[in-house]
Amino acid sequence: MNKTHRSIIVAAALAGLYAGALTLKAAAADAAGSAAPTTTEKGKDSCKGKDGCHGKDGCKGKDGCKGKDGCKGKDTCKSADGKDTCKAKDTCKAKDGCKGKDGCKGKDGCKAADEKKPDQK
Amino acid sequence: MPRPAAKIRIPARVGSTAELAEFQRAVWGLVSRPLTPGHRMQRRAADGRPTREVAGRIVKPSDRLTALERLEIYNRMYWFRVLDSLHEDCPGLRAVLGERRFLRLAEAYLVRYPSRSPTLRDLPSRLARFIREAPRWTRPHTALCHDLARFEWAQVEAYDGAARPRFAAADLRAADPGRLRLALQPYLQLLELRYPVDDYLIAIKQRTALLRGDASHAPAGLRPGRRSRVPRPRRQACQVAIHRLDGRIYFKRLEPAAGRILRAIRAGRPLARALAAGLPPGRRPPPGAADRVQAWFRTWMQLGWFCRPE
Repeated sequence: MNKTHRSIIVAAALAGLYAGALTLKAAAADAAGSAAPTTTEKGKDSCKGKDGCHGKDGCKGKDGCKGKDGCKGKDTCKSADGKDTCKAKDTCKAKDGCKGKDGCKGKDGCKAADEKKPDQK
Repeated sequence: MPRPAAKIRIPARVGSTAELAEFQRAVWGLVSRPLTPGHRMQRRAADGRPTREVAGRIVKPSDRLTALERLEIYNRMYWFRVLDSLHEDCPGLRAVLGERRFLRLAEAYLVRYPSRSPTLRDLPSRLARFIREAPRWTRPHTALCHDLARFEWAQVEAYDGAARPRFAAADLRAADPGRLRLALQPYLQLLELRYPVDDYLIAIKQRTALLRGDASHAPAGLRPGRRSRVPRPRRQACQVAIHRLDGRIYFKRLEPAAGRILRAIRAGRPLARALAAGLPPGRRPPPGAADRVQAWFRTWMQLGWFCRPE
């Protein structure tokens, strides 16, 4: 191609760019091609990330956190010695669950922070 | 006979980050080890020792489960989840290979290229490469499967790849046409294919929708038989752009010259050189070339494929 022909082609491309910028967005869908068949499913299921949102009740994140109300530690250890009722050790999966310093202490059961007797402090 | 892997080292006590890393590697090694054909944990670990023995050094038994059984839960959970994710991402490969062969391919792939990302989105990213490296899993349809794996991964990239601010008419005003450079949106995927897998995937989806009963009110004669399959596509080279518009994914066929121009733009060539790369060499451009180029650029601009170069 000589210089003139090259210039004509470049001018055509530039004219296309201008025309495309001025065209209504609604017209773009007609030129988009075939809609992919997986679009709907992707939209629904594509949130697969570590922190992916699965909706209000679907929090199944990094630590298996089942949310504030799903913690079986603190509020379920009701007996003072906790020997029979404490389910904390193996079941509590929440971040603030009964696993820590003040939580289930094994043999003597769960002594959640709220239930400590003054003489235990 | 394959040589057993190096002995799995499990620190007796975790007292440093190095020991923690060693412990994590040992757990990962057991959890990511493929399941038996009956979907259970293998009896021997990668180093040849009984899995029961290795598991016993990693986790304590509970009052109901042995150490092995406790670890097996995670071993199965890992494999079921990653296989389920690949299964969902690869309807085309499943259709070509059938469910059993697809499962074998997926397991072999995940052994060779285990998940290395915190998100399952990235799981099929190396599947096309694996198909090329290990054609025995897909023979005699390796070329078709390779195209499908590339295409199915490109859809993931197009769906949530980055988008940059669009190139606008205002950007043209100050530009020197001879030196103008454009860039393509990162999410736009350009594929040169040996098979028309775009049409094939659409046909598979339509058939699946019918089988699922989306069209259960259709007369019985219009419903496909359970055994009827979408015929595998015949070899026919084509170029496809996979892109998104308003949150939906689209496949758009490209003429060969249009594909060459877009790839030259992606490679960073100035517009004038990209156009020269796209059009066939000769003293004059082919008849109607200017009109076609104008129409292509109008459409691509409309679709928001261009952005400013970084």
